[in-house]
Parts: sequence; C-alpha cells; structure tokens
Amino acid sequence: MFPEDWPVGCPPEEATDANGTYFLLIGSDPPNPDGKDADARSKCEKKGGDFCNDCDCCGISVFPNIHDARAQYHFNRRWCSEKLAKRIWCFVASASLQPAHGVVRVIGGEVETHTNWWPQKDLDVKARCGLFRGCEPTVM
Amino acid sequence: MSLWIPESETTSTDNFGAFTPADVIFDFGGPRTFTLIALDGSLLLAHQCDEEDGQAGFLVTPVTADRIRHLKAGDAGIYDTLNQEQLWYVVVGETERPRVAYRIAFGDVPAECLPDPTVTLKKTAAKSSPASGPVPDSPLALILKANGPRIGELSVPTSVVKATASGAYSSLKRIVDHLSRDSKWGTMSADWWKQFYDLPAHGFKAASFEIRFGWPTPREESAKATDDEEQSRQQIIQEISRMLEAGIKWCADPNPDTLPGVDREEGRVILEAIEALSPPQSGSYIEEFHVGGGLIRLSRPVVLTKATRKQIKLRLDSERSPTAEDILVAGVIEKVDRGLQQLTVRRVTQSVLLGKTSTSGGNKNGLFPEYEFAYEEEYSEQVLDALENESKVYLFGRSRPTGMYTLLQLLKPPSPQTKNPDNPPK
Repeated sequence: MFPEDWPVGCPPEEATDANGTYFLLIGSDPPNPDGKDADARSKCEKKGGDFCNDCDCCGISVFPNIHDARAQYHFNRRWCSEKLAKRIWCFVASASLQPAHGVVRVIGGEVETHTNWWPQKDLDVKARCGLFRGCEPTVM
Repeated sequence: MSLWIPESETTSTDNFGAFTPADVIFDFGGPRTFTLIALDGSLLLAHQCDEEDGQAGFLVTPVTADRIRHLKAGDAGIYDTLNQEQLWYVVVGETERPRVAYRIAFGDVPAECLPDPTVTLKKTAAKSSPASGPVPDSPLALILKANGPRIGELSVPTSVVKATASGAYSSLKRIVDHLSRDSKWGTMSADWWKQFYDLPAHGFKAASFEIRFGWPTPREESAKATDDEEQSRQQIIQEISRMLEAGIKWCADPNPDTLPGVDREEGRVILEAIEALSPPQSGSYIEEFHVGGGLIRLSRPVVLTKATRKQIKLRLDSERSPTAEDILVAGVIEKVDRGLQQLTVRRVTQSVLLGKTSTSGGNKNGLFPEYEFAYEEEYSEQVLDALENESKVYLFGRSRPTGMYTLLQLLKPPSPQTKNPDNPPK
C-alpha cells in the first residue's frame, strides 16, 4: 500500500518489487530523518506547484551500486555547487531492500542506473533511514 | 560551515512570491534548479547552491524560455546562464518560502557556491549534433605550450617537441585505455579508440613551443559512423574532459588524502594522465606546460610545472604501496582478445600474490587457476609474440575491482631456446 495523497497511477505500473542492495546519497552518518535524508517528498510538497503532482517527486533516488552513486554525487557537485554537495550528499549508505519496502524503477538521467524507490506507506522517513547502513564518505 | 550570506544589502522578497517551481530542470531529492514566475510576470531561474540548518540559498536571475530550452537540451551550461548582470541570492527557510533576498554581482559568489563552468545536462547532451564536443565554441581540443628560459623562436630542441607531443598523446591515451575497458561502450575497434588520443595537430608555434590539437576525428575506414557510435564519441569526449579537469583541479589544491574522480581506480588514471601532461623532471628545457583548449575550460589559466609532476608522483607512490595487491604469475598466454586488450594465462606454474598474502604451491595437484590481465597497447607486440610461441612468460600485474589484473610488465624466462619449458615438444 502506498500513500493516498500520491498522484493517480503512482507508483507506475512498470515499477517492480524492490529486491536487492541499493545505495543512497545522504548528508549525515547515520542517516538523519530530521535532515531530510531519504525524504524528497516533504521538500517537494513544501515547494508546491505542479511538480508536486509528479510521481517522481514521491520517490527516493537510489543506485544499484556504489560506483554509480558516486558518479551521481560527482555530477551533483558540478551542477549545483561543491558546498551544497559536500553538505547534503557527503555520505553514501546501503540497504537491502525487500518487496515489503516498496517498488523501484530505473528512471535514468545523468547516471543511467538512477533508480526511483517508492516506499510503502507504513515505512515512514525514520524507518527508511533505519534501513540504510554502512555509511562511508562519498568522496574518498 | 554556515550558509553563505552576501555582504550586500538586502532587498524585498515580494517579487519572488511563494517561490513555487514552474518548471523543474534538475531534481535530486527535491527541485534544485527550476523556473518560477515572479509576481511582476517575469520568468526567473532559481538554482540552489547552499543549504545549512534548515535554510537553503538560491541564486536567482531572469531567464528566457529559449535559454531554458537550451539548458534542458544540454547545449547551454548552468554557470553561463547564471552569470548575468541581474542576480539575486534568496534564502528560503524550513517552509521553502523566501526569508531574505540580496541583490548581488556574480563575481561576489564564492567559487564553492558556483556550478562547474563546463557542466551541462548530460542526459540530453548526447542528442547534440555529432560535430559538437563538450565546448563546441572552441575550434581546438587541446593546446599545450612548453615554456622555459631556453626555449625561443629559433631554439626549440627536438626533445621539447617530443616531450610536448608525447605528453598530450600519453595523457589522453591513459584516460582512453581506462574508458575503453568499460563494457558500456560496446565493442569498438582499437583503431576507433585511437582517434581520442592520436589527435590531429592543427598547428605549431615556436616562440614558446606550442602544439594545437584538433578534435578527435574518425579515421577513414570508420568515417561513416552510426548514430550510436557518434553518441558514444561525444560521451567519451565529455568523459575525457571531465577527467582532465578533475585532475587539474586536484593539482591546484593537492590533498594527499584524496584522489580526483569518482573512485580510486579512476583517481589513479587521472593523476597518471596529468603526470604525463606535466614537464619531465629530468629535462632542463621545459619549466612549465600551459594547457588550454576546449577539453579544459576552466576559468583560470592552467599551468603544470615540474612541482606538479612531483606532487602527483608522491601521491601515486603512496597509492601504489602496501595496500596494492600486485601479483607475479608464471604461465602461458593461451587466449588474447585484441579488441578488448585482454589476455588469459593458463598452465600457470607459479603465482605470487604480493602485498597481502603469498601463494606458491597451487592446489593439491600443484595446479593454479587461470588469470586474466588487461594490457595496454605498448604490450601488444610482446603479448601476441608470447601467444604465438606458446612460451612461458612472467607477468607482473595489479588487481582491479573486476577481479582482473592490469599488466604492468611482461618478461620472458632467461633461456630463449626453450620454446615451452613446461610442455616440451615431442
């Protein structure tokens, strides 16, 4: 079950059960729910606008391997700024996601394996953060 | 670290309204770059560059719909788009609504709060015309100028010419060899890959010796490239540019605890490439290389000195020592993939793993598994010779994350008369 306030048709039918290890860029070690790690939706909602109705806005960006997570960090650092990247994406953590945790779909973008993870309704941001362990600095 | 606050006076936030995105251009964990419609009806671009303690800093500038189209298509950069006379810095709070705004000049923004001058949206950059590189406004890919007190208009020693040309060649080849081993590019011929490091020289200047290299051009036999090949070609040029810039930036502030690039292997490759672009420490003519061209579009001049080379060497030496897993294998090369430049060693009689543990006896039958090595073109002749002769060779290599080894040295045993000492002909 997914949150009722998500747009109609979200998550998309093409998304499949999460099943495997995924990597997440975060800003603190361990992941901090108050720091908005693993929580894209609240930021989108506060900003408002049509984007809030975009299904991707409800998902969380994860990667199937650490190399690609770091490649995304590298792009974000170049695109946004070094300071922002070091502040909010300075760690990479991994979780073994199971079907009970939600569904995933590769959405691509700057890194081909960029995957959206739509968590189940009962998995609040604190529980999501609790799944991710093994933090290490994004930049060696 | 605290949120950057400009020294300029504040201005009203009224015109920014609720700061609601109209069109999101870059989203990662929330909208980071987006347009918004100001209360006066003008189109603005907002770009997040800082965040601290629940506050976020955005650079905001007027923008045209046409510019946004180019930004999305990947043929305009975010840096140039923000570099406008009319620029604000807007701080939004927990509610994502503007709290305070400053009228600023682009030059006031700290470098660490600015995007990279060369970055574009990669996902659409591949759709750009095949003729364009990462910086289509530059006619030259790379300019390498050797400076030194003894280099003048009529006194350019051949060694300077050689060092300049081979510096560019070796540097790019190091990067291209690394990229070519990534299976995502498919199977491309060695000749196809060569275009990226064997660049056409478009001109020379002798006052301080300079070689001007053009963009990679497909060789005649592969001139009719498919769309996929052209797309790969553009992406590879982008990758080369990214790696060179990362290396140059590292050299400007060389931290012995870090490496440039996205991972350790890439970091080593980048430093080796920049090392090749730096003046040789042994020569007495070249004091510094000035590096320019479309592959490297940094806002400041790039000068690589002998000191640069020394710093890189120290960093690479520390990287290569104790933690590296080097291996020495004695055996017969039985299989070679010339396209991928990979070989398989079988009939192994000795294998010594250096760095962590040592093995020398194989399994209970005294047999070892087969080993796979990736090799660079300079070893091609030796590798093919060993394959043809089925002769026992010694291979010295370094482990890679894939389980394969990178060939560092290939030696024949001391007795050349013995064709195959482990399996003599009947």
